[in-house]
Amino acid sequence: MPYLILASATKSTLPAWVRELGLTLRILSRNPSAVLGGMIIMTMAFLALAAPFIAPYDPIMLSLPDRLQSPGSAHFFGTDELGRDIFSRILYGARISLTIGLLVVGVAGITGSLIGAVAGYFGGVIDNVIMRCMDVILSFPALVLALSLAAAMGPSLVNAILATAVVMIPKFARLVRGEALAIREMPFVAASRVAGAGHLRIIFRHILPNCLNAAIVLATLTLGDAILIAASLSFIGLGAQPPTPEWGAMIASGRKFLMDQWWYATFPGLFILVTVIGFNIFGDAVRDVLDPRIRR
Amino acid sequence: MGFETHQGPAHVLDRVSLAVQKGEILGLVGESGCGKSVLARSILRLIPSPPGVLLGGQILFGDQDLLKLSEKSMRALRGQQISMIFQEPMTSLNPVFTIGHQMREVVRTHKPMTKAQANAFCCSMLATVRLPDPDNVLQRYPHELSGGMLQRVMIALALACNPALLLADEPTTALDVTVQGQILAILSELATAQNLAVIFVTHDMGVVAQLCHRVAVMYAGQLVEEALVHDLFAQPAHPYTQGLIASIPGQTPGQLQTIPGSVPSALQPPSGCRFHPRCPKSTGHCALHTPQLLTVADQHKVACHQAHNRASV
Repeated sequence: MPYLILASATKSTLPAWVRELGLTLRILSRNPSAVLGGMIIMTMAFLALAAPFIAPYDPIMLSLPDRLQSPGSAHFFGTDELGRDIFSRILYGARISLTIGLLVVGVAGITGSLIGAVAGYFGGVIDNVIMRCMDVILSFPALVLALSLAAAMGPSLVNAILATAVVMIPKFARLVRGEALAIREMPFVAASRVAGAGHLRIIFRHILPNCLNAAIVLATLTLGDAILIAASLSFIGLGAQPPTPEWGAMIASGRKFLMDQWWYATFPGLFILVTVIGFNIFGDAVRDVLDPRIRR
Repeated sequence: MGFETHQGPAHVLDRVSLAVQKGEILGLVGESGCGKSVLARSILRLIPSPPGVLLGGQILFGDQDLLKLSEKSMRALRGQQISMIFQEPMTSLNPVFTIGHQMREVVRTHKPMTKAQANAFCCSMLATVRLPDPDNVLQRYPHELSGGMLQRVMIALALACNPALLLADEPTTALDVTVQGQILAILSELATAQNLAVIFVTHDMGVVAQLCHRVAVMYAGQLVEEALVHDLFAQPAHPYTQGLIASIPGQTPGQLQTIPGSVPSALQPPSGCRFHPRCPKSTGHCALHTPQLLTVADQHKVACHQAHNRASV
């Protein structure tokens, strides 16, 4: 009896996508590395959001008498050469780093996916032209290209974000193009054309939603990279400018004191490390869960 | 209709001429690879170009030549006037949206409706294809339904805008036999009710006998015989049709009849009658001269020298 599935399925009043999201979250919660990565990310997000309430000091207020204090009960992570509390600066830095990560991945993910979907769906000359341009970007080492772009546009946080995003675009374009090549041959695309759909509708309704899983996985994995590259740009001086409490910039200024005041550069470095690892672990787990061949 | 291939052009459809009237179900039969699906798809201009090349001919729908329409007016025609059902119901719906989402979208593209109206309309469409509990089905994702249910959804979708012509490309091949029977019954009932012209592509002679009014038999891209369904089964004139009918399983127990050989390549079709290398009755004449599709009896056309001689046309 073909109706068996329906008869046994629980009738739910929730919209269908909520059911699916709930299912995905439940599967994720059974995966230890997803839980670990998720906890790191959530802790960072909490620290970033709650920074004004947790931070014991103003992150940019100078206090010259307290310069270069070692970690202790007054300053958990010590102070820098201008007497600013490093713990407070790291908390505010989490806001900057997470925002950078999200912005970079958002900009690169959306642009890259659109480019890839167009290339894969239309194929032929369009595909070739677009993908060769992407290959040009890919042929440079990511950091070197981001560095030269940021240098060309001038040192500022916005430019660093844009430069990092440009470097990330080809990753998404390639991935989505590959998916689009497969999806455009699916019968439901033909069926949709039969029903009178045009190119735009097919790209936005059929190609892109079916690439979403893969794009989300890549986005989570890329978040760590994006934070790292943006921090590197700030380290070189092409990103966040003083007195912004950016982690990369903090390491850069702490470098001079590393021999005698180890805490100055170490703690921001540790936070970059933990955050990037958190996103990578979580990204790996999300890939395992969202891959329909392994799921269920 | 032809395709550019790496080995030169392949003429996949060659001088095929078919007509179908309102309220009529025309069966299109032939082996895999003989061009049935290409024919159905080229009516809707779904063949990508390149590699597809149209070398000549016309496709008349009412009095407009579909091949001369702009892509925009073609799009308006698809779904509204001509719809199609595909072979694999499992992959004919987008897996990331619910059935209801997709049905509403199609319906609202062609008719101005509010979401609630569209929902009610889809419900009633699902009821006409005898899906139980349509409200629930609308909220399901395609993977939560069985093949038979999905094919019903596809039929409901195809008929949602009251098209004049329905192209069914082997809609029951992927389904098991009991479900196949139900689907065929629904199709034939709805075709009669909506006075629909149907081109039913299949390789299953049993389905043809049950469903169709008229049958066209294709071989290697050409039409070899066309007749009313009763005449075709009672007096098949072309040796290929005879072979097809003899190959229906279950006539001689314990033994399956086959037609020896396989479908020739469209790149280098055999000379003369394309069936002659496999034909039990072929003569030297067949290898040299291409038979024309001639009328041998009332509404019965065949392309075979022997059949022509017997009917002495």
